[in-house]
Amino acid sequence: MEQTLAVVGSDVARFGLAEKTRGAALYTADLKRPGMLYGRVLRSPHAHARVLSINASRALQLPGVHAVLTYEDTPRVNIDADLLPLDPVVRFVGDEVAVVAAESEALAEDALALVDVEYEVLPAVFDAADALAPGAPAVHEGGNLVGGEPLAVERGDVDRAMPSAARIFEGRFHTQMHAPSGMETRAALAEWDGDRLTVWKTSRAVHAVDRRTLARVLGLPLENVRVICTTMGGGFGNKDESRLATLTALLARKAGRPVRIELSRGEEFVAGRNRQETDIFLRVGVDAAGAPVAIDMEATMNAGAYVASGMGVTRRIGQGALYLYTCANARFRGRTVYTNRPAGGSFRGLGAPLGHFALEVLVDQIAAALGQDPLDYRLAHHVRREGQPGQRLTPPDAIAPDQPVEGGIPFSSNGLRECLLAGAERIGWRQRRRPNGVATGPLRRGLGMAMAVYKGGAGVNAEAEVTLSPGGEVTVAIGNVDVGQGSETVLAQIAAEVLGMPPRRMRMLLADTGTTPPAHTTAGSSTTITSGTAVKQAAEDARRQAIELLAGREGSDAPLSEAEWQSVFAAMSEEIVGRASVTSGSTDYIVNAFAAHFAEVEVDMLSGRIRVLRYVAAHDSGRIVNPKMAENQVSGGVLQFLGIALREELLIDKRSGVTLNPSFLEHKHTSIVDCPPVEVIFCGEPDPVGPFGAKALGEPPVVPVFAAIANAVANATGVWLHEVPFTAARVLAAIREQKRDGA
Amino acid sequence: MKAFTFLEPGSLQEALQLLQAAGGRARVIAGGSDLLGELKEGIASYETLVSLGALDELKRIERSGERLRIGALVSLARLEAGEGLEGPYALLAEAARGVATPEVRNQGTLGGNLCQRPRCLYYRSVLTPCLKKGADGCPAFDSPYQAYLSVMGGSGCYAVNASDLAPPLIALGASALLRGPQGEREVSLEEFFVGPDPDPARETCLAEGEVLTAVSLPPMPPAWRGTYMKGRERTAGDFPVVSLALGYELDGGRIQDSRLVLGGLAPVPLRRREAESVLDGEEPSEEVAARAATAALAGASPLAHNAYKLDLARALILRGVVRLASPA
Repeated sequence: MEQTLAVVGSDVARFGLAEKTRGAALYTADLKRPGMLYGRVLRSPHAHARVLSINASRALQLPGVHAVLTYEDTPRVNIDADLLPLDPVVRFVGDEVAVVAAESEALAEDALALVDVEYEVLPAVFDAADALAPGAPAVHEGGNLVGGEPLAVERGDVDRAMPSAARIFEGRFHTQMHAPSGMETRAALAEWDGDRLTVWKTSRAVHAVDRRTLARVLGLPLENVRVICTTMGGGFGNKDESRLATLTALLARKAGRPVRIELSRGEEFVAGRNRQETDIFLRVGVDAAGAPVAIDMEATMNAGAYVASGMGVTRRIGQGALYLYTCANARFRGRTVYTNRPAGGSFRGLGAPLGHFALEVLVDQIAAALGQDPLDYRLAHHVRREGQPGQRLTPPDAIAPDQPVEGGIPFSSNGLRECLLAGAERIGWRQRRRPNGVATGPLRRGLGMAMAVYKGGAGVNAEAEVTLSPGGEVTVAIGNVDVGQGSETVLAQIAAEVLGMPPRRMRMLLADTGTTPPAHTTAGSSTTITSGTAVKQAAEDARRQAIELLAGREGSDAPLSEAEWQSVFAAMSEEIVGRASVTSGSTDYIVNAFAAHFAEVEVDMLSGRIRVLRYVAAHDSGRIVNPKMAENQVSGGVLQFLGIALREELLIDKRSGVTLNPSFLEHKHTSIVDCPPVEVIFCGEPDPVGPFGAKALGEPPVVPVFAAIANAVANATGVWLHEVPFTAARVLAAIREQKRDGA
Repeated sequence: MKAFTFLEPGSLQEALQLLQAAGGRARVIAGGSDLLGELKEGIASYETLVSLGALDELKRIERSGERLRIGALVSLARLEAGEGLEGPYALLAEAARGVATPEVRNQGTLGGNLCQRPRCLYYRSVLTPCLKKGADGCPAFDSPYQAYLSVMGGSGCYAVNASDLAPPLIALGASALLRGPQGEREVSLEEFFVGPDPDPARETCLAEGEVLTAVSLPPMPPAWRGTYMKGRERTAGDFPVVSLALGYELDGGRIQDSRLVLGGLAPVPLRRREAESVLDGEEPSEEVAARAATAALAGASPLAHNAYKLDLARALILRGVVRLASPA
C-alpha cells in the first residue's frame, strides 16, 4: 500500500546550511576554552625506526612551552589492535613521536625542532609483495600478513565448478594509494575537570569509538568521559580513530590546561587514514551460453603501518564478485599486508569500488569476447530479487547479513534492472557504436557502464529519544554524527513525518555523549536505515503517549493535527519521552542498495587525455527521503571518484617512504572545470524493511565509477585499462601496446 | 615556517641596499605565492624578506620607444586582462589566463612567475635531500614519478622550468632587465634561464643582490600571431607537464618568422630554431607540423618514466601549427 507522506520525500533544506554558508558553524578547530594551549605533533622522518632516546629539555626551556609528551609518559594500552598512543617504534614517515603544548601554534611548532630524538633506523618495506617475501622486515611482531592468514569466503565450490566452464576469463587489476581529503583536517580539543574529561573532536563515532577508547586507554569510568563533535567538515569514512584525541587528552592532563591540536593539510595527507594500493586477480568461468558458473577473486591490499579498520576494507573488495551476478559458485580471498607506508583505514566504499572495478571491467571484456552488448549481458545475468542460488546458512531467526556470501536469502527489494534500463535510456545506450565509438580525427568518444550492489545497515543497534516538552518544544536525540551527508535533516524529516509537524520544529541533538543515547559509528551507509528506524519508532512512541492525553481520539497511528498538538501540550504536566532501541535489518531479507552508472568519454589518442562528457547515475536506494540532498550525495560521490579514477594518487618514495605530494596542488583532486554534468535517476520501490521504505545511499554512488569510465574508454579506443588512475601516461602506453599487437 | 624580518622599502634603490646589506640571508618577495610555500615547507629559509610590493615603478606596462616594457611587479591578473597587450602581444594574456587559479593570478606577478622554483616533487619535499638543495645525487632520476622532470637531459638535476610566461616571452624575443649593486644590465630571456651546470641550486643568471625589474619586448610584425598551449593533469590549479608557445605570420599563405618554444621539457625553456626553419616558408599543414615536431623533439633523452611527455609535446605542436592558421 502506498503511503501518503507529507515530509518524507520532499526537498527540506539542509539543517545548518545558512550557518555553514556564512562561516558561523563551529568546527572543532574553531573552538576555544579558557587557558587553552596549542599542540603540535613531532613526526618520524624515518619509515621504520626505534626511538632510542628523547630529550625534550631544550624545547621545555623555550618560554611559553608547557609540556612535551613522549612514549615514556603515555600508557602502554592499545588504542586499536596494533596501535599505542605513542610507541618507541615508529612505522612510517610521519608516525607520531611526541606532542608539544605551547601558548601558540607557532611556538609549539618551533619547540618541535628542539626535541632531540635519537633513532635506530630499521629496515623498511613499502610494497605488499616485498612485505610478504621471506626475510622481509617485520612491521609488527607476528608478521606482515594481518591476521596470519588470508580472509577467505566461498559460496558453492569454485574449484569444482571452474574446470567445467566453457570459457574462463581472467584479469589482473591495480588500484592506487590516495587520500580522502575531507575539507576539514583532523582536530581535537581536550579539557579536564578533576578526573572528568571533555573532548571535542572531528569524529564519526563519539559513542562507539572515541568515548570507549578514551575511557579505556586513560583508565577512566565511561561516565567520566564526554565526547562532542560540533560540526563535521567531511567524513568520507575517515576520522573514526582516536589517536589524536588520546594524545590531546594526555597532553592536556600533563600541561594542566586545555589543549587543542589541529593537523595541517600536509599532516592530514600523511597521518590521516588513506585508501591503500590494491592488486586484484579475477577469474570468471562462463558456460556455453555465457552465464557465469564460477567467480573467483583474489586481492592483496597494502594496508600501510596500521590497520585501524581491521579486515573490513579488504572484505568489501569481494562484495561485487560474490553477489552482483547470479552464480552458484563464488569465492573471495583477501590478504591485508602491513608495510611501512602511511596507515590505511576506512574510506568511502571501503574495498567495494576496487572489487567492482575488476569485476565490471572483466564482465565488459567477457561480453565483448562473446559478441554481446554489455548492457544485454548484464540484463541477462545480474542478481535477481530472489538473491543467489544456494543454502541459507544464517539461522532463520537471525538478521540476514547485508554483506552476504551464502545463497538462499532473497533481497527485500532489488531495483537493479530498473536502474539498468532507466540509465541506458537516459544516456542513449542503444546509439552506442562498436568497437571504437565515434571518431573525429584523434578524438574518440565512447559509452561505458557498470553496476553496483552495496550493503547498508543490518544487525546494527541504534537508539533514539524524542522528547515533547510542556512548552511545545520537540527534541530528537541521536548519538550519530552528521558527517556532512545530511542525516540531521533526514532524521528530522522522519520524526516530523511521524508526529505531523514541520521538520524545522525538530530540535536536533546529535554527536554528544553527554546529551544523546549511545550510537554506532556513522559508517557503512547505515544511518538512515538504522537511526532512521530508531527515530521513527521513538517518534511513534512519543506520539502514542501524546494521543493518550487526547480524550476520545480514535486511532493511535496517525499524525496529529496542529490543533491536537496544542491540546496535547496544554494537557502535559511533564515531558513525554519517546524511546526506541532497535536492531536494523530483517530476518527474512538481505537489504542492499543497487546502482547502474553510465559514462560518455572523449579520449585524445595523441595526448592520452580522458574527458568525461556526460555521466548518468541510476540508483535504487528505496524511497528517497530528501530528493535534493540525495541527488547531491550521488553527484558528489561520482565527482569524488572521477578524480580518483583519472588523477589522484599519493606518491610514496620507495627508498625513503616519504610521501612526495602531500598537498592539494600535487594530489590532483578534480578542479571545478573538469567536472562533467552528473544526471541522477532514482529507481526502484519503497523498501519493505527500511524506515518509510528507505535504503542505503551514502557509499553506493562511488562504487561503479572506475569501471564505468574504464569501459567507456575501451569503447572509445579499444584498449582496456586495468590500473587506476587512468593517467595520460597509462592511456598512451595502452594505445601504443595495442598498435604494436595489431601490427 | 621559521620567523623572518619583513621589510618593505619605498624605492628600488633602497631595496637593493637592503639586499646587499643582508648578503645571501635575504630574498626578494613579490606576490609570494611560490616563496611562502617554500618557507612553510621548510625548503628555504631567509632571515629577511625584502618586499617589492610598494615599488610602483615596477608595476607599469609602458611603451619605451619601439619596445614594450612590462614591470616585474605587474600581476598575472593584469596580464590576463590584456592591458596594453594588443596584436602579437595578446599571446601573453592567453598564457597568463591559464596560470594556476584566479586567486594566484591576483597575487602572483610576472617577475615571480619567471623566477619561480621548479616543481620537481623531490626538490619540493623537505625530507628528501637533492642536488638542488645542496646534497649529492638526484633521488628523482630513477623514481617512477617523473612528470615534472626533463626529457632533454639535465647534468645531474632533471628539474624543469615551470613558468607559463617564459615560453611566450621567449617566443616574442623578450629580454630581461636586471638591476643590481653594479647598475642595470639587459640579457635575452633565453639567457636569463640557466641549466643545472655548474650550479644546480639556481635556475636564472640573477647574481646575488640582483633583482629582475622588467621584461622588454621588441616590436613584432603586426600580423604575427601566437598561441600558448599546455598539457597538464587537470584544467585549473595545475602546473604544465609540457607547454608550447608557438607563433608565426602568414604571408601569402606561407609561414614566416615562426617561433617555437617548449616549456616543461628541459631545465630551461627551449626555443627550437630547427623546428622554426622547418616551418618557415611552408604552408601550415599537418604534414609540416609533424616535421616541425620531429625537429623540435630531436635529440630528446627521456628518463625511464617520462617518455610520454614527448607524445604530449608532439600533440601540442601538431595542433598548434594548424590552429594558428585558422582565424579565431
